[in-house]
Amino acid sequence: MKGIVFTEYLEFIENKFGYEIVDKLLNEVDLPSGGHYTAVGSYDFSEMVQLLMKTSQLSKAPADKLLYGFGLHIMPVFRKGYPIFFDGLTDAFDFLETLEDKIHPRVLVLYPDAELPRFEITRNNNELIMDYKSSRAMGDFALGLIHGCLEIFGETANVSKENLVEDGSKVRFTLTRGPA
Amino acid sequence: MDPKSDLPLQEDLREKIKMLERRITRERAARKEAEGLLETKSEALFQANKQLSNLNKTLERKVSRRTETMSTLINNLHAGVLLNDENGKIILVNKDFLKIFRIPLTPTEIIGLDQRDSANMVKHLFNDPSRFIDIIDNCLSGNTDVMSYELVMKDDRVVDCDFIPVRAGDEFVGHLWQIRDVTDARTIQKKIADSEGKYRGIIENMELGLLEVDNNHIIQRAYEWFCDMTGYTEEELIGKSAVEIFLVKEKKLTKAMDVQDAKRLRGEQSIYETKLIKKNGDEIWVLISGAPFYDNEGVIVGSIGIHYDITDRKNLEYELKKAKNQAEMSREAEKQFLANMSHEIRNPINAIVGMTNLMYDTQPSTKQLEHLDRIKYASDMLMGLISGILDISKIESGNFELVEKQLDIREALEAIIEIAGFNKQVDDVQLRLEWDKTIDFDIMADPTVINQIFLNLLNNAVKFTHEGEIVVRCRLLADSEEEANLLFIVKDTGIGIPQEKRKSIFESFNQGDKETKLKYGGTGLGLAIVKNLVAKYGGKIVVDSEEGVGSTFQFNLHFQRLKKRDKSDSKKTIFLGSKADRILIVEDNQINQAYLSGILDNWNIQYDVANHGVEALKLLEFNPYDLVLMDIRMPIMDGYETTIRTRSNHSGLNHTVPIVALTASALVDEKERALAAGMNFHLTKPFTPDQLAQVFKKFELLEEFTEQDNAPFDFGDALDNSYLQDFYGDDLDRVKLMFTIFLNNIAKEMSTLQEQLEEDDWLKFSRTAHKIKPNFAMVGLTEISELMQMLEGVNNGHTSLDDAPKVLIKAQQLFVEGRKNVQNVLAKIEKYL
Repeated sequence: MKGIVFTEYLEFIENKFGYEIVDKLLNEVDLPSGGHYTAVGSYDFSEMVQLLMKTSQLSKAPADKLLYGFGLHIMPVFRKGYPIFFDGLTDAFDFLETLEDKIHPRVLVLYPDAELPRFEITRNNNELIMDYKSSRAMGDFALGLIHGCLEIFGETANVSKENLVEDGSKVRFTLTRGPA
Repeated sequence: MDPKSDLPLQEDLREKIKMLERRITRERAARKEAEGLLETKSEALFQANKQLSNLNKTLERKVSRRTETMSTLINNLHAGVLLNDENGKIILVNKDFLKIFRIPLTPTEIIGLDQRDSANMVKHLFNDPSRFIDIIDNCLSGNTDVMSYELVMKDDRVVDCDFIPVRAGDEFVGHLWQIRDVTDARTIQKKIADSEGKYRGIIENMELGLLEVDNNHIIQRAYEWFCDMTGYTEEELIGKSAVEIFLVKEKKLTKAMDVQDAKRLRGEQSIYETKLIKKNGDEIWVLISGAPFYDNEGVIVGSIGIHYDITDRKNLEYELKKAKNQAEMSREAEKQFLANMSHEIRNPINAIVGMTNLMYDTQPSTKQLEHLDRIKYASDMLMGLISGILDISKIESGNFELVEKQLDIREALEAIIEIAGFNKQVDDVQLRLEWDKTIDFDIMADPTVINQIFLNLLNNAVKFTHEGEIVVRCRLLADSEEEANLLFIVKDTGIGIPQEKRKSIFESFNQGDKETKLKYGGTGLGLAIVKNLVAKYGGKIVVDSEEGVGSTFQFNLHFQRLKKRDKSDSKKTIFLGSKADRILIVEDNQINQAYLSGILDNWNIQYDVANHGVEALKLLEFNPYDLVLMDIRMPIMDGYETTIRTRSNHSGLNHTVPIVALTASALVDEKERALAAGMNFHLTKPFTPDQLAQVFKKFELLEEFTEQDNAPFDFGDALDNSYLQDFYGDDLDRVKLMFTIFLNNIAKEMSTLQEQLEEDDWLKFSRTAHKIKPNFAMVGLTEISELMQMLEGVNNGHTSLDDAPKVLIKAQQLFVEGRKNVQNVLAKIEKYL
């Protein structure tokens, strides 16, 4: 998993709960990498699971809420770090539609070893159906990102999330909004 | 500050400081890790750059090599090539291009020039400069189709210009110009066209009608002469089916046309004949040479036929065929006639000859003797003529069959030379045989054929030679274990043959000349027969001759060679034992009946005799027979019908009895007819007892026993038995021949002797006596031979002239008796044989 996810996650936890929780996490969780993450490195996904579980335990906040919050947190970071993907776009749906065609391919150029989720996107005027597929089952993180995206473009839309399989490895997001 | 309350605060602070220290440590570790990662990435980046740069260099080298290859290729193309970019600037040009347009620049010098400028530079070379400029403008204006033009230059050169737009992806990047000098090709095309025109002219002026049809016979083109031939115009024919319009609806012809169609579709050409219907309904015969023709892709699209009117020829052919049939029919009639003649004429003449011989015994007067001589001469002549005609027609019709047996060729020739000697007119002529000692083997040959060849040649030689000698030479040319090629030469010192006659003497009825015919007589068939018989033995006869000096006949014969027969073997007598109960003779001729009865009595075989078919059928109805000997020509019912009736009576006693045909004619036709009628075998009359025995053996009705037997034939007391036994040994065939010749000639000689005595012509008298002296010895009349020696002596004083008449009377008395004895012995020999 890309290092930026880890650095941003710790950033998000620090923002939300203070560095004390971060310090506790890094002291108490036995991480193979030692926990000194850098955005340009890559780390095992199990470390993220360990961190998430420990955070939930320390903060008493449920893991899905944490993931959702993390998604919401990271969207502005992307906006700031990779403005090129947002250039010329004024609409959240338009942006989301470019995910598979433009954004993910560019990610793979920079990080050929990145393991990205797959989205199948169907646009029907004011309805956008995004079918998510990932063995990581991080649907709540994706939900956070979608909401973060709507916030960036200053839009509101009704977002529903539906597990297509029990383990959450296939999830359907349906975005609907009022006519423009 | 309250230290107590400060304490937890300090503790808290210390904790915070420691936490911050941990944070700094973590951040530093993270920075180190990031730096490490960056260094690794830089290193990877450097290596990647290096690889990229190497790849770049390799690619550049490849591009440069390919460019070089390409430009060499373009330079060496047998076409002018020019490449311009999208702005009309020249990028590349080859030497041929500069040569074709006579541009005095190098390829490098012209690069970068404007295409329009260069076009203006060369436009004066063209017959139509403005057209050239228009074409260039049209191309450069961005027209993106491939265009081809053929342009003629002022110096008569013809160039083919192709303008090919070049694209990189969707983008137009320029034009490729391909210019070829096609002057030679155009010249050749023109020559071909001229030549085609010339030959078309020739074909149309020949009497050959050309017609082009497609694969379904639909007429595509009809040439003038074809239209003239059939009476149609080309317009009337095009689009119509040639088969429907022209072909005569006869099964044979339509079938033949199907065969031709199949050939054409296989790409074969062929020549055939067929009948066509003209517009006016007349039919003509045409000879058609048909060949397929192809489109540009090599697919057969139809055929072209060259028609030649052969109606006249066909009519002539029909007439000829009719004439040939007629000729064949008359030839058939002729054959039938000859077969009849053999039966009908030979017998009466035999009677005349026989009766004439008997007449000499009736003490005729001098006048009557003269008449008898003429009758004898004429009937001998007629007999010879008929035999000759029959022989030649038999040989020429291919119906002549060789009857071969083992033969000592030297003995045979000696006997023949002896016989020919009797016909000598003059004693001065000597006959002799020169023998090649290497011929120490026997041969398989037909003795009749050998006799005929040599007797004909020797009789001629004797007839035309008045002094000198006649020599028969024999030489071995080549031999193998099975075969021998013998060369024979018959050389005389006679009158010779004129140059212009030497070729024709071997043709039937052709003698030296009319004068010869008058002087020497003969049928003119002898040499024709010889030539044919020589050919039967694979040989060829030639003649060399000089008038007044002599003639030499030379020929070779191929024989199967055999080991010399052990003479003691020939002394074995064959005993025959009968296995037959009873046989039937069906024969109308009483002499033949008697002949057959004699033979069968000797073999102890029982037999019945029927005089014709009706009698035979009656006998066949009630008696079972082992064999039937069936004559063909009989009164009341002939042999064919008798046989057919016997065979068709399926319940008869003799339904399957073997029937042997006895025919007087050796013609193969009669033999075939006999077999077709249901007869099992065929014998030609006259046949020998031995030949008949072979037939009986074939049907297992005779058994053969052989036993050593040294007793020679008993000639009886009337003739000089011991002399004859010494002289002939067991060669009874030769005895028979000699006795027959004696009986045929001697009466005449005796009367000659009588005449010469009466005329006191002692010289001739002596010669005649000398000549006939050995003849008497040879038939065992030794006493008369001695009397002749006495008479011969009148000329040299050994015998007195007064004694001569008495001696002659004595001789004549003995002759009357002796002659009868000779006849009796001959009959005995014939029966024995």
